[in-house]
Amino acid sequence: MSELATSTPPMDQAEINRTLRRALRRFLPYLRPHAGWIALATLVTILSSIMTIAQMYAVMLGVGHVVTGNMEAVASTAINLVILAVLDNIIRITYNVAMIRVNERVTVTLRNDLVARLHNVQLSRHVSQASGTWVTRVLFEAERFRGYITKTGMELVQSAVWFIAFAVFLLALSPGVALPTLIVIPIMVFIALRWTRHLKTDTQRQRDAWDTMVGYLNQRIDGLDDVRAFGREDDLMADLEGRSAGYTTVHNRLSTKRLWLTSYLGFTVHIALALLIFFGGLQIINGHALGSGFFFDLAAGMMPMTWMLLGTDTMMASMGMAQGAALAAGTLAAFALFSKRMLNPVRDVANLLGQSSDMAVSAQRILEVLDLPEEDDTGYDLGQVRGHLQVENVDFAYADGVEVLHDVSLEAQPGEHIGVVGASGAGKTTLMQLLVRFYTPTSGTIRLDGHDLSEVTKTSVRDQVLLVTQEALLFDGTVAENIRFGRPEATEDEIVQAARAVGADEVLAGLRDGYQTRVGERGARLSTGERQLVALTRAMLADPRVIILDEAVSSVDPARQLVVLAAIRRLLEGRTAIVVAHWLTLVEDLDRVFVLEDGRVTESGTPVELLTSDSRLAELCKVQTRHPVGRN
Amino acid sequence: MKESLHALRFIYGYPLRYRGAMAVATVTMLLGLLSTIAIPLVIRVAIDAGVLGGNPGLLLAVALGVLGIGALSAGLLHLGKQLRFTVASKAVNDLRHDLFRKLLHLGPADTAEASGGRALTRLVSDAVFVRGLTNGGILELANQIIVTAVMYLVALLIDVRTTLLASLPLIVVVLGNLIVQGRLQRMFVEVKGQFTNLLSGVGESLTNIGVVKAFGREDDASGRLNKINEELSARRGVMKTTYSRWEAILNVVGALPTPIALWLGGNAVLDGQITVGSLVALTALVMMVQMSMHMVTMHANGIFRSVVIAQRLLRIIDARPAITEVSGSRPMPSPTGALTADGVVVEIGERRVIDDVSLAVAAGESVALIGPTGSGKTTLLHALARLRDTQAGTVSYDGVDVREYDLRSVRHQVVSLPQRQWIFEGTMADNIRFARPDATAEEVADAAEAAGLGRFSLTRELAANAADLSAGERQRVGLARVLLVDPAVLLLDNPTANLDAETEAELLDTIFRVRRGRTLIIATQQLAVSRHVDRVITLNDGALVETASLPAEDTSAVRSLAPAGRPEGGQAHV
Repeated sequence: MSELATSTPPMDQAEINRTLRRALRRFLPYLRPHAGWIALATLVTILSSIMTIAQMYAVMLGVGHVVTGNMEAVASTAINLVILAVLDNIIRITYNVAMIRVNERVTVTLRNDLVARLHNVQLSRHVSQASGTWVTRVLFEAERFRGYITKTGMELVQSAVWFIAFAVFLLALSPGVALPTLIVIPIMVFIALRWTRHLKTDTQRQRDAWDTMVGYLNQRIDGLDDVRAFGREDDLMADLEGRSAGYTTVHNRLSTKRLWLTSYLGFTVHIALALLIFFGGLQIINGHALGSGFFFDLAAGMMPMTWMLLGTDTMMASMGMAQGAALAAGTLAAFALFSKRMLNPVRDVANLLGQSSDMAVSAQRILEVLDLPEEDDTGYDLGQVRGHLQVENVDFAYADGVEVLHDVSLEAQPGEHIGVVGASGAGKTTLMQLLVRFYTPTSGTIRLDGHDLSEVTKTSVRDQVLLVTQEALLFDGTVAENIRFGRPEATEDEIVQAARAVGADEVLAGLRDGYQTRVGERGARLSTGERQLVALTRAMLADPRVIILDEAVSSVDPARQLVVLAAIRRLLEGRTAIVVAHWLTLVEDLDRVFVLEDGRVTESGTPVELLTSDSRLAELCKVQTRHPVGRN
Repeated sequence: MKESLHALRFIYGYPLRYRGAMAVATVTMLLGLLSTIAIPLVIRVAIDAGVLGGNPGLLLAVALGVLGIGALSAGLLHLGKQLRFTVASKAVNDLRHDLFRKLLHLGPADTAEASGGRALTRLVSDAVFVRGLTNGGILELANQIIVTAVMYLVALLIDVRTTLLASLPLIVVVLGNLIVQGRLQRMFVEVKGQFTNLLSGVGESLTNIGVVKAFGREDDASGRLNKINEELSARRGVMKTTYSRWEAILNVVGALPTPIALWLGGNAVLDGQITVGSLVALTALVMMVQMSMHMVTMHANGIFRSVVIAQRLLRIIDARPAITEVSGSRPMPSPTGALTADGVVVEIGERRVIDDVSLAVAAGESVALIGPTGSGKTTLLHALARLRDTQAGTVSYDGVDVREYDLRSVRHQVVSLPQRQWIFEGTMADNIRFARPDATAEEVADAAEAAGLGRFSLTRELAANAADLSAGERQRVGLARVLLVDPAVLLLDNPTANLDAETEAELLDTIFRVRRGRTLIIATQQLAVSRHVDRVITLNDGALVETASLPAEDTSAVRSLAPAGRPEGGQAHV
């Protein structure tokens, strides 16, 4: 089974914390280049909290001035409020621009790293993992995770700053009012944060249920043709409906819990407001003017900053303003007006903490990709070779330990064409992949012009040795673009020359838009034969010394078979070639043939020797000519 | 515009299936929102009569009143939201099921949206969009508008002049938002498009990883994706920055009502027209109106975007299904297996894929259907099995038009195996039983044995994509499925593609063994197949070229398969 499961097993708290700590260490480098912007955003966040307090304060003063009938001061407060709004929005846009920049850069870098890593891991990793899962990780998980690392940090900072600023402000106004409020609010907040524990389990359950459903849909979409063929549409619908119902239960449970948190905090705001009205009002009626002593000391202390924010006039006016009832009215007004903003940060933090398990899952999935071992590219540069290929006593086993090749030896002199034949599962594909250093032999050596392939860089091996596979995989793009993949710097002219050299020019130029014909996803708009001609031209353009060819002429439509065959012959001319051959004609072209059975070379010799003897090769050939098998 | 309305109507159809619940939820939430308007009014009392009037008892009453209002509004909003997200979950499921049902009835060639990655995106992330629409969207927009209007009305009742003048800037905010949304809409479409490009780009690159590695082009391939990635990010950055800039400007304008209210209201207090408490209430209401307007634009924003998503979903929903069930169809009686096609024409999109094909196959006859890639073999098989409707002509079994039969019963009698067998995560037995869920363990075991899967344990877990099964073994899973269904007619699409000679021979052996008198049509390019059948039919460019009886080697159809000038006449596989 694949080592990357679609759904990640549930984690306990210790594991979540461990993963998050590890993730933090690993992802700090992504944030570091943007330290300046992040610092700016943090600074601006602090200013933003102060700005909100300043607005509250201005309203408070404004109402106070109305009570005392100081209209001049009301006018300047009004103007100050406008200035504050402008400043507030300058701060906000600065924050947004900084964070948009950081977010986008981090997402791009993270995605690019994921893409690069996926391109550079060993081929076997791809076999063991459906590409859909990879794609999801590159696109969605990267985005989600980026959201967590940038947003989470910022929101925590914002909330903390806001709480401190708010508490200081409240205490400054009147300890008598502040204390009941400041005692009750933390208790309410504490309850909210305790609640997040319930969110955590359900968040994780929801994520699992979601992953299961996506995995399920992904597989079913793959099988739609079969479902139609067997008329199983209704069963499938019923199955999907059952699963949707299961997911809905989990989802609704989480939503309900989240909603309780929101409603609870919504009510908490009113508790705070009620406390303020009652205690604040009571103090005034009892003759303790709000904002006496401590408040004015602090106001004076804050003056330089407040002066900058509010302007001198207001400050001076506020110092001389009548105390007591006026200020009380103003305070109540300010709190009534800003009450909603008070507890929103608590809700955000509580929700965020509830998502920590989800964050850990995201982190783990991204790290799984980033931590995949890269294909080994150490060694020295091979340089230009003549094409002398030697396989010496090679054994090979995949990661699961099952040995696929045993003691395989073969040799191709420069320019020689060697055939490898054998039933499916004999190890042909594995052997071919070893020759281009997709894998390294478990024991034994593969040499090219005497250089041990495991000691030279994979890049320099693949510059000289080219694997041409059966499927002739193409990218969505034009024919020319697909051919140019063999040598990116090639000119249009060189592309046409390469096509001429393999004899594919006539066919390719004859396509609807010639070389500019779009091939469609995976080359679906071309026939099998046309696809192979593009692949062969691409190989010709790359001009390697050695070609490893998995010949698949038999799957080509009859009309194109001869052209493809001729193209193969021209491509191989003058190069060393290892051909996994299915066609007799091609076998006859070869200098020597090796028969592979269950991972061992069981026969070798010239085609003529083998075909005329009582060999396995001769037997394989006869299979096709033998007449039918039990017809009804 | 008309299209946008169509899209909106479509997507809103889902939450509105639960009209009753949505109505209750909307009214409950409206009441919850409206009750908060009382807060500024009780604070007015607290300031005027409580604080300035020196009445502690009243302060306590107001404090309790605030708690009461808080509890009422929180409770109502809670109920409304709970009801709403329950509906939202149902709406998402309904939409997802509709999309999936539609996908089941589309051929892959019918719409690009129906292919793998895209279909998944539509089913998974686009469908979830309905959730947002149900929880917010038009109804929430309507609620916010009503609440805003009521707040405004209450403010007017306190002081007409102050309220009217203070709210003037809000007109600018509303108009500004509409203009900005129009611009952002276009950017949003572009960003979504670029995201889809990245999605298919990554998928393609990873599918073709073998080629990328063979040419050592890992860096180029990831570089190409990096470029798409950068482009996506740049566009999204521009979109967000643009939005943020406009938002800031509109926010400043939107903040003007508070100081205006303070100044004008302050003057009104001095003139003795209103009380201090009224001034505070008025300012609070103006601020609340401003916030509500912000919510209104947010919801409007969501509606603009929902049009884009809805239009994408409609491309699937509105696509013409490959088959339409006729009313009054009846179950197919056990057929003999004799089938005829008469003047069959099939069009996919603009293209005529099958052009006036007529043929008759006798009960129990075996036929090879030969033709180059793109000649229409698969489509013809689909038409014969009624996996696709014909645009003209009829397909009949025992002389009765197949359209008269109920689809499900046709599927039990006529099975058309696709070229690539679908293997899903589960045991070998699960995979075989898929064809007939009520089959007994014994029946499954027999089918597996007969299809040549005897060496596999039935409890063996298979991976999705069946990386651990060979091409031949996959075909055998398909044959085992067929055996469970036991149809009278079996249609096979290129079953021996990409098999080596030995495997091909063994598989053909099994195919003809399990046929047991069924009518059999095999679409193929392999000459070897035609040696086993009673008759060879050649299809070229969607038209029947020639039908021939055995010996197949003598027909020009078969000769055309073998490249000329080859030794030993036919193609010899090694």
